[in-house]
Amino acid sequence: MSRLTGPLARLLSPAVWRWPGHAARKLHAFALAEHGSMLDLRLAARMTSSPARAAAYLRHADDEARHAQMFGKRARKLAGEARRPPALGPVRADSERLFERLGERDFLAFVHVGEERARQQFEAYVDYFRASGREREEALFSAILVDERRHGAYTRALLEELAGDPAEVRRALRRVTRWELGRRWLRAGRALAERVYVLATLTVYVLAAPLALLVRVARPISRGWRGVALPGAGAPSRTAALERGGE
Amino acid sequence: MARVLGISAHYHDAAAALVIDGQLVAAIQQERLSRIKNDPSLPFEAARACLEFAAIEPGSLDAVVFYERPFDKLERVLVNLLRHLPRTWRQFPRALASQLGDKLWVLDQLAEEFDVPRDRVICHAHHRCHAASALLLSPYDDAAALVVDGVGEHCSTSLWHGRGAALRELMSVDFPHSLGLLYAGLTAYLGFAVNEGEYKVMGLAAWGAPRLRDEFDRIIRLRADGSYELGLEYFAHMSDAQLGFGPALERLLGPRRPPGRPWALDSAEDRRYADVAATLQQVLEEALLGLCRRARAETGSDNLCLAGGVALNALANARIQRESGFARVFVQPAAGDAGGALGAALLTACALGDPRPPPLGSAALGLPVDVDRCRAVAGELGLATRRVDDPAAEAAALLVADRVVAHVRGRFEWGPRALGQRSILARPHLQATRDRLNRVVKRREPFRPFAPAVLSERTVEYFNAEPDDMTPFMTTVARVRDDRRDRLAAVTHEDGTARLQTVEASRAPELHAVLAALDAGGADPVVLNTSLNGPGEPIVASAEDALAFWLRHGVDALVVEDLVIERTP
Repeated sequence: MSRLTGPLARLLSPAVWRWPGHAARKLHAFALAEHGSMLDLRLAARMTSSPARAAAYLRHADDEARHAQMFGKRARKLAGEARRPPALGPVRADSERLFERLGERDFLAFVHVGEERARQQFEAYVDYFRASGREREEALFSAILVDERRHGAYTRALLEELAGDPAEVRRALRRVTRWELGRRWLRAGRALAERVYVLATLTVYVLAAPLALLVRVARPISRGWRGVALPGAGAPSRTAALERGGE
Repeated sequence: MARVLGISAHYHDAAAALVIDGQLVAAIQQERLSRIKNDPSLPFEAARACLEFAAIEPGSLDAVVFYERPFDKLERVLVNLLRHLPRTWRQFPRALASQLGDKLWVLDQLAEEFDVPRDRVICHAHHRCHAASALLLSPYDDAAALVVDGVGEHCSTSLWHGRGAALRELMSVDFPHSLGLLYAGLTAYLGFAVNEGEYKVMGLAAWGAPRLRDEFDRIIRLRADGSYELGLEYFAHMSDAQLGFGPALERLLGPRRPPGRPWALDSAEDRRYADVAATLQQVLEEALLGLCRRARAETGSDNLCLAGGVALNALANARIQRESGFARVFVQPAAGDAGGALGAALLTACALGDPRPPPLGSAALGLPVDVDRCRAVAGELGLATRRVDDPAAEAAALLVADRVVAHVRGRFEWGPRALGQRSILARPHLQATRDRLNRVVKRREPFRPFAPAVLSERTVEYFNAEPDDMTPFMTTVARVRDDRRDRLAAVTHEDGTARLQTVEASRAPELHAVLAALDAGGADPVVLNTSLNGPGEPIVASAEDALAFWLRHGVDALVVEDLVIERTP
């Protein structure tokens, strides 16, 4: 897969970057990926036992936060230039909690594989933007590429340090590649299942239509106060009051 | 004597709270640990952190309590989806998936996660938890409680009467009529994110005038009996969970404001949006006053507890204190959904025979910071650190030199306000400080104010107010004295108010020491106190978070317990 990343990015660049709206969405997706990576690295910094590695993760997280900001800013600019501006949400991703799920060695292997993939992809984009005279995008990816190369190198060095021997490094890299493939498979399955589910629930929805009339009659929208207690009624016992709230 | 863990989750602001033998031991919002702002996911990490702090095993818990009744919630969701058919077709699959696939089974999930018998996992009604969170930690033995939020299971507003540890529901207003959803819908209309931008609307209100009362009289009708009714044709929260307002609102008030567009309050267009915010704020305050007066009439009590997300509206709280007729008002600092975890735990502890806990003293209910770890990691980052004997005096000296200080001391706060444990501190006298903070850290809209913290016993020298039950937790505002405005320029809002925090040694000892050191040195015992976080981030919790903040933002100094890191000017 990683050998295909660069050529694929080169092949698809004209289609990906041609329209501002599409380009804005792509950059926004990068911003989200960088933000998610930042969250994972900050959590890793908190969880690792080594202060040296914590410092390395924090520096890396700081770069990712900056990248997310840069991608997000350019995405918003391009979205503004689009004929039909795409709706871009805030740059806010979820953490995958990879450190907890994979352990530190495989976490490092995972980050290394991701950084290498990003490097290959961004190199292809820089070439494309240079050739098509889009200086801003070229400058953006070139600046980030410097960091990606550094991240790839330091994660490899830390992985070798943690794994102890080159064979174990190779095993860790293979393990996370397999894990990532499995994750993609599950994601694809989930996406398919979601579509099937939407169709199924919409069918249920149509079948439930007669119930809507019943609900409107039986449970109309209430207005104003409900359940006014009689004035002067004393407070119930503590247990009774709590039982009303408890299950 | 019981060990009870309270949990709130699934909507926004998930949290865990631990009560042992009737004492509140720890309360932590999930976002502080996951680093995802307003994280709604089940707060396993926060719960484990509470248990580790108390050094107890999950298996020894007597109860795990969820802050909502999942089946009641499902019923309301289904009824609403069917009632508004066919407009709900888009929401239907998502709502069903989330309810049936996840939320309905929350009690089983909790039992599994904590490995406790299923019969020890229970739940309470959403609004009951809110009411308990305020009442049971208030300083009052007899009080009315008013809960106002978006929606719980069925109701969006409820009135309660509390005596000792007993809590009696008096009346409620049901969804879809909701003051929380009114504010949320208008927040979205003004281009802000719902559940986050409400503070911005409150700040914006001071820049406008309530000129749109006729329009708002159609949006919400306030009744003589204290209740209210939304003009539902202007809203979409019944059929669209994302947007909240409908096309009719735009026809009435004009087009919505595009999100993210820079503000120019000297332009006619943005002045109109400020007028919308000002009118909304005025209408909300009047609606709340109506509810409070009804609460007073029903209970006869002199004391009021407020809870629910709307109770975080500090402007409204100040007006309630002044005009509702209640002598004392208390707002628990995490009045939003996070507070539900607290209420759930307290209710169950009392039901299991524990005494009602003492009134809430301090909001520092989170985890302490590991200063040795901070020093070790800072060393690896190549940062020059030094240890000091008197961190408060050191922080005060930095402040007097007009430096901006990131202050990380003690256990982190419970609720959305930084109260000195995880704060950015600066001197309050220069408008330029506010501009600098906005430039290097906050990147806030120009209309948003910064808050002051003042030595409690010196409050009246700077503000037209005395310390009360809300001021220690920054849940109200007070007017800055006219003769002190030039000395509090960075923290005085456009309308002359400030969301002040009065600081006592018993509640926030570290910040109190800084203010006392300022006072002893002849400076005003007042600081600008804003949360230690960048835009869109949760407030700092750990040593690593503090260092990440330091790397990212250009504050002048970082004080972590007795460790000081300075940037060379």
